[in-house]
Amino acid sequence: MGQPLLEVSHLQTTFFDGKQALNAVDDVSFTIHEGETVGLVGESGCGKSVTSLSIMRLLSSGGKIMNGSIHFNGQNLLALSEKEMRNIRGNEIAMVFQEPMTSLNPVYKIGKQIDEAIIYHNKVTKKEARQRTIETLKNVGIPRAEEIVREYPFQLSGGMRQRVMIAMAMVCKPKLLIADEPTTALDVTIQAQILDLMRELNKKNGTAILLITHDLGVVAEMCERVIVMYCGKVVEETDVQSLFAHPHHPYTQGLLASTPKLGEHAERLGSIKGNVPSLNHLPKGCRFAPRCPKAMAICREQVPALEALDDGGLCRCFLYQAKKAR
Amino acid sequence: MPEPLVQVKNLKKYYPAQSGILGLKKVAVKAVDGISFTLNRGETFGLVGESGCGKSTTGRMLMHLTEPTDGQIIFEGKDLASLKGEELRSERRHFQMIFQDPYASLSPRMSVRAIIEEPLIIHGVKDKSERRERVDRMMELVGLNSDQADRYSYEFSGGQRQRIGIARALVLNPDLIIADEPVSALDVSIQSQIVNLLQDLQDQLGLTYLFIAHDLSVIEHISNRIAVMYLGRIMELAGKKSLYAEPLHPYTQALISAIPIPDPQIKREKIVLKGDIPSPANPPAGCPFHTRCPKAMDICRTVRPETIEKQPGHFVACHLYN
Repeated sequence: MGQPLLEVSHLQTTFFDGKQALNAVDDVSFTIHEGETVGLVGESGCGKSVTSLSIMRLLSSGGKIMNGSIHFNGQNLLALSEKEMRNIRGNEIAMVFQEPMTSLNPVYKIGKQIDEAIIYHNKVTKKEARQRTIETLKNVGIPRAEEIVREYPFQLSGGMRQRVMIAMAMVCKPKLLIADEPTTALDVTIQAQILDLMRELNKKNGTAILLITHDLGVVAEMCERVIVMYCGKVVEETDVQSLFAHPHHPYTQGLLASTPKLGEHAERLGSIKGNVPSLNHLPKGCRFAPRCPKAMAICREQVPALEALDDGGLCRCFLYQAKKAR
Repeated sequence: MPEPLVQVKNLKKYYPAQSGILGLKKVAVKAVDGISFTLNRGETFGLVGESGCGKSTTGRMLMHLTEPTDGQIIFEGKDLASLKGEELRSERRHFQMIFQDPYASLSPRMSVRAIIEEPLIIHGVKDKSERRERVDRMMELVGLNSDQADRYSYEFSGGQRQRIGIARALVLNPDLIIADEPVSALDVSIQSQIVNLLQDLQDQLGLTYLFIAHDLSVIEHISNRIAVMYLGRIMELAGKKSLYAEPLHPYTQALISAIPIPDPQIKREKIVLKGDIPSPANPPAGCPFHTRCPKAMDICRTVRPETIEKQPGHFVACHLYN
């Protein structure tokens, strides 16, 4: 494993809705090493996207980082000025979003949007920037790159737009790429192309990837390590092999059982009862307790800590802590 | 012996479109271009394909939400495609639909009771107490508490809303449920609740499902037979086991190999297709898949392949097998 590249510790991001304060991300800590691909998994509302936006400091007006630190290459991102942050965004940390159409500017041509990033972060002429744009577009597998730079986003298909987004993210050769559901809006044959491309960029340039997704299949194919979130908290963190072979947290177990697997002819899928609670009605104690098939009395009273397990993983569950204490 | 419930014959939907300078050239977008299949009573028939393949249009044509351009939909000896007005309305009660987006398909201005009750009113159940009782029974059947019937749909979560949509579809005791991506907007843990509910209801009520989805893992789990569509045509149609164990069409092979498997132990050789899905406004001549097919031959570029029954019950439209 390489050097630690990104260290998020005790991050707490809060959204203010009138008088209410909602902790969308609550005491989240994790590390990404150089060249590593880490998956951040969870269902809607678990705080996975807010975590990534906090790292980029791109939270919308209602959201605020209340606590914690985010160190990138030894530098605390939360202590930087907005101008210093702009030098990091798109240059050292880049982001790819789920819906490429809403992330590309519809009134600028593709070439101009990518040139802009190069010119902002480097001392180059427009001509040099354009050359690099075309080169990067070719690297992400866009045919006729010389013509595409003169086209608008709406003239491209969904898969092509996502390639443009990735090209834009990769053009300054970032050390970290945050990909928030990069293939969710795409068809499965196109998804396979985009995942292939990301894997190649990771190998060739050594770019570390934080891959945010709800799709456990994508995680199994892409990631080395996985962080599972539920209701703003990390509930499990482990390497990808152990996650699928021995999931510890009952939530992780439930997620895996709920996912249909090809070629496995089960009569019925496993499931997790009930619904994800909303942030303003979080249960006392462990947030998963009301849905947990193994919940004990203590789970409804106290919040379990994220503790190390014997196999090197981390798990936030009293089941394992009780065993240890005994 | 399977008993056919609905027979779809050579169904087509062409949309008029214009192209060329000033839109002078009239062309047809062939959203569905001559497909045939049979739905057997009590089975789940999966319709799978990528965006723009015509799977949703097919479902909507069965419901008459979209008028077919040509072809037949035969149900109990009648051709539904040719029915109109009152006759169509009374036949349509046998088919019901569940939609993809439970946020968009339920009116925010109606209570849950009003939503589930509406089909009963339209189809002439005049007795108010009977309607009340049937709504309550439906809500319990799909796992909702009938005490909540006077709430509005926006007070419910996505999974619960989808249950409301299912209750609305079932309240008229239909024979066929057309489920268009019923779980793709839901979270994984909720998705499996709904899939299990649909299977339980099928066992209890003997329903037939046309299950439309892009997710091949879900389709494999729930379906008995599956048709794979591409650009308005059925490329392959087979029983679940033989389709996944022995996919014949190169498109099906690529589609299956592209599914990410939630098990890092399994490493497969992937078939990564080149290029994008062509526009249905300008589909390639011959086999519509030839532009991306790794096994394309000369004939594929010019001649549309006939559908043949390669093995009993396993149909494929590909020149490799002719």
